[in-house]
Amino acid sequence: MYKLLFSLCVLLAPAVLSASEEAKDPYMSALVKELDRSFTGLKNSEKTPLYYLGYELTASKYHYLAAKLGALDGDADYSSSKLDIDMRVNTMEMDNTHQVKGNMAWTSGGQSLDLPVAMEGNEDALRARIWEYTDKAYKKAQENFTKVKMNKAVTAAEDDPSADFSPSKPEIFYETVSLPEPDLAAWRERLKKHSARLAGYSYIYDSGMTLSYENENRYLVNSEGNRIKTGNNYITLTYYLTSRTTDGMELSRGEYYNTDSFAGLPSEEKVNSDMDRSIAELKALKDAPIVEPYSGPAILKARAAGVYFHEIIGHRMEGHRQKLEDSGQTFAKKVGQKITSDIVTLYDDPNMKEFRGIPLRGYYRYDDEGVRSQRVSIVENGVLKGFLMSRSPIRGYPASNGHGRRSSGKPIVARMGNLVMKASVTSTYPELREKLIEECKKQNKPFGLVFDDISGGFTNTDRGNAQAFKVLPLLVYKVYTDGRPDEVVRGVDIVGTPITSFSKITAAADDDAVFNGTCGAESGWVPVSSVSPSVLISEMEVEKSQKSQEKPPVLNPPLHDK
Amino acid sequence: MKKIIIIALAFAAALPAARGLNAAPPSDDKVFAAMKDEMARSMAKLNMDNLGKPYFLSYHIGDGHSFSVTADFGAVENLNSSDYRRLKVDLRTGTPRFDNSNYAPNMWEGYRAETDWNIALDDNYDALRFAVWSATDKAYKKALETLSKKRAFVESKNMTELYDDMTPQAPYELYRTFAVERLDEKLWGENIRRVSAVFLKYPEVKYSSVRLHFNSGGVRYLNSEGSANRRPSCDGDVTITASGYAPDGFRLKSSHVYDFCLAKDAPALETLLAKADEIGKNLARMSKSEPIKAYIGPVLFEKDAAGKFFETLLVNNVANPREVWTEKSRWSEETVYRRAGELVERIGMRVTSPFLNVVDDPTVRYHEGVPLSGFYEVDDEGVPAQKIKLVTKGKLSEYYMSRAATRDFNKSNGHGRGDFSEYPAGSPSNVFIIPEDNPAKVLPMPELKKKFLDLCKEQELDYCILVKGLDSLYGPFSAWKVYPDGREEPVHGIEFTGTSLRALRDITAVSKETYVYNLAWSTPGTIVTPSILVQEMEIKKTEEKPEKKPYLGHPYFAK
Repeated sequence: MYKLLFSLCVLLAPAVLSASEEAKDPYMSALVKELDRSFTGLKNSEKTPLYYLGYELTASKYHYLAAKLGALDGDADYSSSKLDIDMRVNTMEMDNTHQVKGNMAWTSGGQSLDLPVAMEGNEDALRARIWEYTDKAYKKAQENFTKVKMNKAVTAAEDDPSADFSPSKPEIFYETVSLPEPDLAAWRERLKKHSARLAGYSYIYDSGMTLSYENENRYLVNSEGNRIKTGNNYITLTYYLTSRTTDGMELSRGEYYNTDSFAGLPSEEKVNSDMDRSIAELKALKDAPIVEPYSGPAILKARAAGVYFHEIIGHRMEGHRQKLEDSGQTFAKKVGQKITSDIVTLYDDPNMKEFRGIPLRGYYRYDDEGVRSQRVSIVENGVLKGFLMSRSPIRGYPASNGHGRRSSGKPIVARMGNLVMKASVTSTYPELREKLIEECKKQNKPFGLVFDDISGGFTNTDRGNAQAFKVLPLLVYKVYTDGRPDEVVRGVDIVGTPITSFSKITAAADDDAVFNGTCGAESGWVPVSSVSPSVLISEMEVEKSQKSQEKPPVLNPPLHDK
Repeated sequence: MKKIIIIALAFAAALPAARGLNAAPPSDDKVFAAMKDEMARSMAKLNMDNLGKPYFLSYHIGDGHSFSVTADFGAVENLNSSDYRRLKVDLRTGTPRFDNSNYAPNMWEGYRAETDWNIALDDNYDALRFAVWSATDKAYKKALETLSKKRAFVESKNMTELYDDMTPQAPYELYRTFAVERLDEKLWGENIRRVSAVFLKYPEVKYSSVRLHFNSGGVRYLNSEGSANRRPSCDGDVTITASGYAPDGFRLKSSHVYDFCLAKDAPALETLLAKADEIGKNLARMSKSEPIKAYIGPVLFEKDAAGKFFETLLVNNVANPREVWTEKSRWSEETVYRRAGELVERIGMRVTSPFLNVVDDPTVRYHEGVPLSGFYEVDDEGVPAQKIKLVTKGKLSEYYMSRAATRDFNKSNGHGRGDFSEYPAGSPSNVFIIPEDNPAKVLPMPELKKKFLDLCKEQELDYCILVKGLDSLYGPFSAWKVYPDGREEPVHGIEFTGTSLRALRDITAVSKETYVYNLAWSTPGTIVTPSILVQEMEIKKTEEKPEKKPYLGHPYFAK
């Protein structure tokens, strides 16, 4: 009996501890008290009732170290606590966040707000600030709703009559994520040492190495009963080296190492050998010929494919884009239809903390609306299944699936977390390369292209412009059909329209890799990941990349003044 | 003949470069060594496609430590502490008569020098020299492009008056040692927090904030003509602001700024606590303020308000004497990026009441124990600081000059200053308003107040207006009605109407007592000013509408 009780206690202990920590948490206490007071007090202060109030408080500790050519040139701490307020008046069907169409649209655009609050747990000070910001937000919400009503009365009905907000069940969760301080002195020395290795090359015009780490805890409370505290750690080690060709093209190589614990960072030897590879690649790019506009078979190496799927398909699967009146709504009415080749299955799962041991930056437990993150099936064997949803519903998708995200200060929209591409048929990478050569021969092309690294891209989802995308490759190889060695080329961007591009994915390898990054869109910068194997695309279009008019430096770097 | 001119010009251009090697900064200073070596190489070799070498080059490297803390209602909201080292390059192509300066290629990019905000914090010669090389290359290409645009701009207009862009200046060297001062940051974080907590006593104060910022370090400057200096550089301030509401919903504000430069001159905690208390009390009194309709009569500007008066009407108008041009674009019809001060055209003319003199003296460090933040020994163009007479017996005799010539002056008077991203331009430092020795015009404060009330009675007014602090001469402000019996009542929601430079000439008397006002300029500066009585000003009710007051009570005071 005792034994049982004891073991029960042990089992219960963490939860009990956490509950008492929660009870003493001045942030939670201040947020809840002001939430209750404001929601009750403001509910019927005006004719249009307040029906929803949500607070998100983001407490962040960030450190940044930077070195260039063997000397530190950045060493700073930034700590902040910021508040975001989501305030909704009238009803879920139509509220103050409703899109204002036409000429008045610019007046309701989400503006970026910076609302700092106390960094210490001083409840009185926290409450004073929350009160101040809430009052402003309430006035703004009432004002916006007046505009919405007027706009609705004078403009045509929307294609999608869905409500502005969807119900969600209250969540209670409490965790405090901490990040132990690293040995900063050792890291300063390490960054200096690594960065000094890039001094010895006359064609490197800029270079640097940085370590940044951020510990972020978010509090999410709302008038529906959410009481959440959750957090993440983001650690990034990165180096870059750049050059410029005589015709004005900017060249850049580098590496990002993303992790959530210092133990996950690569060893000195690993970074050094990656650096050596990057140096060789930069040199090769500097001497590389420009490839002419081309349309033909190509391979996207795994990480590049990850970026490709994120840009080309991922953003178009963000729910609100199926609804906004000025959005292209590429896929709004294609659910159940085939949109890619059969081999492609695509889903987004923010619950994945890692993939084969590699931490994923897109991991989170709760989104910024306090909705638990869920795995969302986007494409299954080529058929469109669903969209990434925030609490802004769209036709056929009445509820959030935990993808409402933002960076502090921005309004929430649906965003990706961890986008995963799974191929139903795979081969090894060397086999995929063989398939590329076969495909080239079939199409009578002397060579195919392999995209090894992509810096990112742009995708246009607005209705006013063509539904096109552009992806900016950093490292591209020509693979010849006649057995000549591969050749580094430069100066091309991948272009195309999404629907045609997807249908041309014909094969995939089994070399799934992770791209960790930060994605910028209307709701700010959010950490994301993409996981994909290398893929073969039977027809890819490339065009000449834009270049600046700027020439290489007039004089050589001082160490190389000969 | 033509050939000779070209040779002569080339010779003239070569001279400064040759002299540049003569500056002799301390040989053990690695930062200077990197600057000097890269400058010599750039001046000798920089010539892209024979488009022209630079004729002038200067480097400015500032480094030190920066600390700031903000607190609100008894809690710290923001705290930053970091070391910095940054580089600014001023590179000129063309000739001293006409170069790439004083021209902003477009409105949105602005008129900014080439800067690198993060260069090696360690004294690592190679890394520093690389940073200098990289910024010089960018500055050089930008200078060539700007110069060609500026030429096209001038050729497209009928511009008859062109002034030299770079007037001659004898090389000047000054080497001071400097130490980076650190405040006790933990203690100051706590001090600022405590000052912010004063407002817990004042329910009338709805919003408040206390901020301290302190930069301490030094600057190294080197130019291709042989001027060089190393000097301490510091700036700091504590700002206390509070606001609340008048009964009709108009926002009322009260604030105070303490400028300082040396850590020992930082305001004492007791001083700050007392000032916060005073601001709280003041706002509590002002919260019963009533609006008035209109007023014509004498106005007494006390302390800060007198400083704001002189800053707006006089100081701002004798600074930046050289216009900066820009090209019209699709978005802007403007061809002037930055206008010259309005009084610049009035040399020799009466600008203030004849019993007033105004001087500017950057070499003064304290006034009656109060630190003057405009102190410096050498300006941002390496020119020695000079005391100048701006106004003599009411007439404008001089204005702030950098090395860019104007119609009136062809020489810098040591006032070429700019914040880190700006090119130096004629700027204020420590302005002194000095009345003539005239017992009828210069009165001890109680007598000045009496004279103010006498004027009021003479004009058969029910009350007259006293201004104690002022955000702007051109927007709504709060002030005090003073009744003939001396009683004061707050008023708000009023603004001056038709305020013109004339007001400077309507100053009828000033106080004997002087006060240090801190300028809101991009570089630190002060005005040492008496309180002033202006014979007549017009005031009207503002057209701005009051805010809706908060729906709910302040959570702390509503408890």
